[in-house]
Parts: sequence; C-alpha cells; structure tokens
Amino acid sequence: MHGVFRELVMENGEFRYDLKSQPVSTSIVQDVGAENSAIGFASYFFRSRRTRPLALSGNDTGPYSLPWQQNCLDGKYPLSRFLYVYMNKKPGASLSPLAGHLLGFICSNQGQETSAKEGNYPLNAKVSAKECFENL
Amino acid sequence: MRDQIDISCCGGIIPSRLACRRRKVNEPFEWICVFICSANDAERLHPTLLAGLGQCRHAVSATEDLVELVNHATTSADSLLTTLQDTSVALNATMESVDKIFMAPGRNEPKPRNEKPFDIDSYTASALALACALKEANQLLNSTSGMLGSPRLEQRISTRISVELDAIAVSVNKYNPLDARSLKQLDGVFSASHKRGGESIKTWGQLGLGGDWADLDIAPKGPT
Repeated sequence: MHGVFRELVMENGEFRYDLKSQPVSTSIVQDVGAENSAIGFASYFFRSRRTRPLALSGNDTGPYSLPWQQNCLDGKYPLSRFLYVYMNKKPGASLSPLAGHLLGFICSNQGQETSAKEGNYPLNAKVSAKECFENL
Repeated sequence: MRDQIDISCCGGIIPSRLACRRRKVNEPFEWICVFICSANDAERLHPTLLAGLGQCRHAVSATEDLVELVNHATTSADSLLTTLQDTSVALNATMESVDKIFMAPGRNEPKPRNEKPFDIDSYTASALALACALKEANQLLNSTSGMLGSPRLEQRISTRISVELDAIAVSVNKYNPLDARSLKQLDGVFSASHKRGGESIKTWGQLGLGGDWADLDIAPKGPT
C-alpha cells in the first residue's frame, strides 16, 4: 500500500515527515473518522461510515472518479490495482493438483462471489479466466 | 544455526530503509539494526531513529543514497539479475555483510548507544542497500502489474496470479465538504518531494475549502 501510493501518486517521492503513520489500514480509517482535519489513504475495503472517499483524477482538471468497482474495471479510477496470489511455481512448470484446485476455486464464480461478499471487488470473467488458464 | 535476518524496507515518516536482525551477542537477545539512508537523511534523522528503536541498542549508518539504488534496481532489474540470482541470494549476501561488520576484529563488541556510529566500507554499504533496493524493486514490480517494464524479477521467484481488484481510497472525515481532487494535489498534501510539480499543501484552504476550514491544518495519515 505504502509503496503503491508512493509510486502512483508521488512518483516515488518521499512522504511528508509529519505524516502520522499507522501500522494497519483500519487504524488509518479510524483516525480519519475521528479527526475532522484528517485525510488518509487505505484500501476501500476498509471503508467506514465516518469517512468519505474523494473522487480522484490523474488530470488536474478531471474528470474525477470515485473508487467504485466499475470505475476500477474501466480504468477511470486512478488508484486501482490487482491483488495477487503467489504460487511457488516457476514459469512453464505445472502446479501441483492441490494448488491447481485452490487456484481454480479462487478464479471460479463461486470463489469470486465469496470474495465479493467479504467486500472485495471481484475480477471480471475475462481477466479471471485468463489468469487461471495460463497457470493451471 | 544462524538467526534469521529480517530486512524491512520501511518508509512512512522516515524516508529511509531499515534492516534489523536479531543476533545473539550476549544473553539476552538484542537487536542489531542497520540504517540505510542518504547522507542528509542520516544527519537529520539518525537521533530520531535511534530514539524510536526501543530494543535497538546499536545502529550503524550507511550513507548510501538508497533512492538512487532503488531507481537503478527498478529500471535495470535484468542487469541486476545477472549478478544476483534472486532475492534470497541478495539477502544472504546482506546477512554475511552484517556478520562481517560485527565480527571483524575490534568490532565484535557492541558499541555504546550514544557513541558516534562507525563507518561501514562502501562495499558493505552497497551490498546492504542493493539487497534492500532489490527487495523494494520486487515489491514495486509485484504491485504495479508490470508497469515498470520488467516482469523477470518476480518470475524467477514465483508465479503471480491476479485474484481481486482493489481500490486505494483517499478518504476524509464525513463532515469534511471536500469532494474531488487531482493526484497532483494529493502529491502536494502527502509528499515532501512534490515530484508532480505542485506546491506543498498544508491547509484545507489551499484545497479550496472556505469558512472555518480555510485555516485548518491538514492532518495526513498513512501506513508505516
């Protein structure tokens, strides 16, 4: 999170020295919810009723987009990213049957719906199928 | 059996990298930390860093410009791989370098905490910084979906599979009327470097809010 924000927003610059840092995202969101003058960044997964996300744009004049799922899929929201699973598999090698089953479940409709119920944004079917077919 | 080294490329309020390992010098265990940063940062932050490292009794400053090395590792991952097989090799090299520092004749006794840190030769400093840079470069490559142009680094280590989409939300308090801003303005709020070319933004008035908000200082929050 720290590195991605630094890369995408600050072009690898250094953070302000008076930035109040928290070890976990929930603490950042709680801080922002408890302090009127605060602003912070964390995965939208950790949203709170006491905070409100800003609409953002990579251009100085907009258009601005909120961190909704469709805006991420469309590439309109500038701070979206994929989350990954790492498999202990060199390129070209095949996965073990157990790891293959796990990956197949993660990429399946059932797996993606389970993830979405927990508050994550699922992949679209095209991306999900591509990730699985290339690695199973 | 050798203790495991824990290299964490830290950021947050300290624009530096910190490598710590637990090493059995005398009972009980104690932490030996290696602080890698630019010369300017070392001069400015070293006392602060030492004060903040509760368990870390001994620290060594290495005045390598890590930002340069990170940039180098990021843009030249392929060339780095010709000399470093993968991250684990780099980390092992780092661990051995740390051993050399502390086990060299005359250096195997812990230094008093407030004594001026001793110099590390440039080779060691480079090895430490390079390992840290390589790790950070790998994290960047992992987190930016190949945007940085060289997927080879991660492919040597594992296979990465996209499984979810995530949005990094920049949030304000629900009573804050601010609605939308550009990445350049966020750079002004969160960054000390302002590489997007904007100015330092310290108050909500600079972001366009009026009334009672105008003179209120912005309190930025982020992860460590």
